[in-house]
Amino acid sequence: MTYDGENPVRRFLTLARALLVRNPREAEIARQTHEVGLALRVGHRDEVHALRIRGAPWCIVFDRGTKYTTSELPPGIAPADVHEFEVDRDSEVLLHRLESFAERAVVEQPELAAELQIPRILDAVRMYYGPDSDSQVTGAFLSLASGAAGNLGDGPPERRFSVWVGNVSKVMSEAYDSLLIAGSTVWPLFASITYCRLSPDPDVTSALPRRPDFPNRLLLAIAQDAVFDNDSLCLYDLDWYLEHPLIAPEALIIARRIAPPYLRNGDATIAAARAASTFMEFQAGLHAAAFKFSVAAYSCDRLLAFADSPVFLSHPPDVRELLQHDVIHANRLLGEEKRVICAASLFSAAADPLDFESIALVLTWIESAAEADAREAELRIRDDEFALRMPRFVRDVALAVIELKDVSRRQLGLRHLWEVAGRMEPEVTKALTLGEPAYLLLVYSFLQRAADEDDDLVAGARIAEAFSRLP
Amino acid sequence: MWPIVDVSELANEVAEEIGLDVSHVRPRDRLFFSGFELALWVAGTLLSSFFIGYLKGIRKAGEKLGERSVDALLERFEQMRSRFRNRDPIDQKALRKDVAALMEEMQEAVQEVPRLQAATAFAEEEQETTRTLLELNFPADQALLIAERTLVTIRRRWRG
Repeated sequence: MTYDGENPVRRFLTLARALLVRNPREAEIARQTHEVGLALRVGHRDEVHALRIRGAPWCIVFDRGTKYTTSELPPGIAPADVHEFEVDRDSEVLLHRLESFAERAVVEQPELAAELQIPRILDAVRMYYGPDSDSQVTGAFLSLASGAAGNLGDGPPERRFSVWVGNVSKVMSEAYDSLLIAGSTVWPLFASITYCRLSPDPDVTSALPRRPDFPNRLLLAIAQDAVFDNDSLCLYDLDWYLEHPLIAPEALIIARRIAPPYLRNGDATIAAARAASTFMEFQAGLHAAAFKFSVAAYSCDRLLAFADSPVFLSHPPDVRELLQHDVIHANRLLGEEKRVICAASLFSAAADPLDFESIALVLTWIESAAEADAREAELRIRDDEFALRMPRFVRDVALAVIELKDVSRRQLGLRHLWEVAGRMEPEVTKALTLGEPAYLLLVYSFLQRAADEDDDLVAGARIAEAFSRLP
Repeated sequence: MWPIVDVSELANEVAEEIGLDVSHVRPRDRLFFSGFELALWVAGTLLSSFFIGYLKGIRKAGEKLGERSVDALLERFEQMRSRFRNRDPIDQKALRKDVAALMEEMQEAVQEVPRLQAATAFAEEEQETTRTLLELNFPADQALLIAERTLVTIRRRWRG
């Protein structure tokens, strides 16, 4: 498969990830917000600007180069100055775009489209649209969860419950990674699963007596007779545990421990994604990391909401102190910020995949930008990598190209290019299979050009030898 | 002969170590879209704190090490840290310009700092970097983790 910026399979997968990282409805709204910002060119101005979807409790602020979301307007912005706009909550623009990529993929690359389950992914995205979307999504969710109920063994109910929790976690992770379900559909489940796993006595927790409001609060249960009877084990949403009067202090302590491991795991997933040698792996890594940050932010959100509830306020002060409000708030912000950065990167890749995937375009831009202001160009490329808009190898190649232009740093630039080539060479087959541009060839062509300019025969021979190793 | 430490390069590495956790510096009511410039600003502040800690360590062990007085240098780094701290992190245009100027100044100052191959690192280095992170709104556990992580990078470059 050769690289084509318009390759429908790649464009389909990139857009599907952007749609499912949270859910397609939110992605449609994000697209409209993004377009309003672009039209107003707010990010290019020095003054302070704020945008708000009409009726939303928060606004997006562009403040002298810094972008943030806030519910409190910064000084210098009067409520009347906020640019309010309407969004079409029934928009299907991205769905139609996805459908057209799927159509082309099935016609142009039928085998690959089938192997990557493109029709199935499209169906998964479609179920989030239309008036019946809630029931369709719930049905798909329960169907996946029921599928985890096989092979639970013959042990006691507690043991079978524990096996089921492990199975359902695996099934849902795979469904999310395979783009068969949206992140927001499964975050609550993972918060509950993690609650059970962190609980010193999960069997006791899961067997707590049900309350009269049982069926309405039973977000996650698979109450099939074949698996669990209606009086025993169950997995509930996080609020249920937090509000249960029999476990008030324990529930707070356990629930506040959910976010930190997800934040750490998300960071590690981002680090791995940064080091990827292909854009497809980079985007898959961001999609996986966003999920972890989302579970962290979700669990903190539930705790903060609980902190305002009458149940919480009725607890004695020593129990209320267990919530650690400031820590939860800090974790919530961090998880949400990192989720948004991952999602924004996926979204921008879906909106304009040629921006960074075509490394040749990046380098053409870098070469001309470096002529004007090398320091500024270097800062810009570091910022793009820092904000997860490109994997690290693109940044490293771009920085090396800037160094090559500076006589005093030319040798350093050459060393850096050889280092990148050394990292990429073992991955070249994978990159070509995924239909990525031949980044490595580009790196070697830069090295070749430098060798020609320097009349460096040794380097020339080294490059020829490297070329001969390529598939 | 020690190789000259390139402060900008070192700050880039430290900024990468801090990563997206840098947004702890934001006000509580905001969700930040942090950029590299912000990380570079924190990295510069941390670097000045490291040198303050290092120089305090030298001063404490001064007689034994037979080093000249480091008071003047220490004061220079303290002024630099305070100037880093007084920047408005929201104003990216000004931040970019100010951080670049401060890095150049630090590069000059660093060349005057005596290089010691201390068997163990000075405890003051960790105290100063952690304190700075706490002052920049990092939660205590994160401040300790980031101080530990960034000190590995700084010490590797500084002590070889």
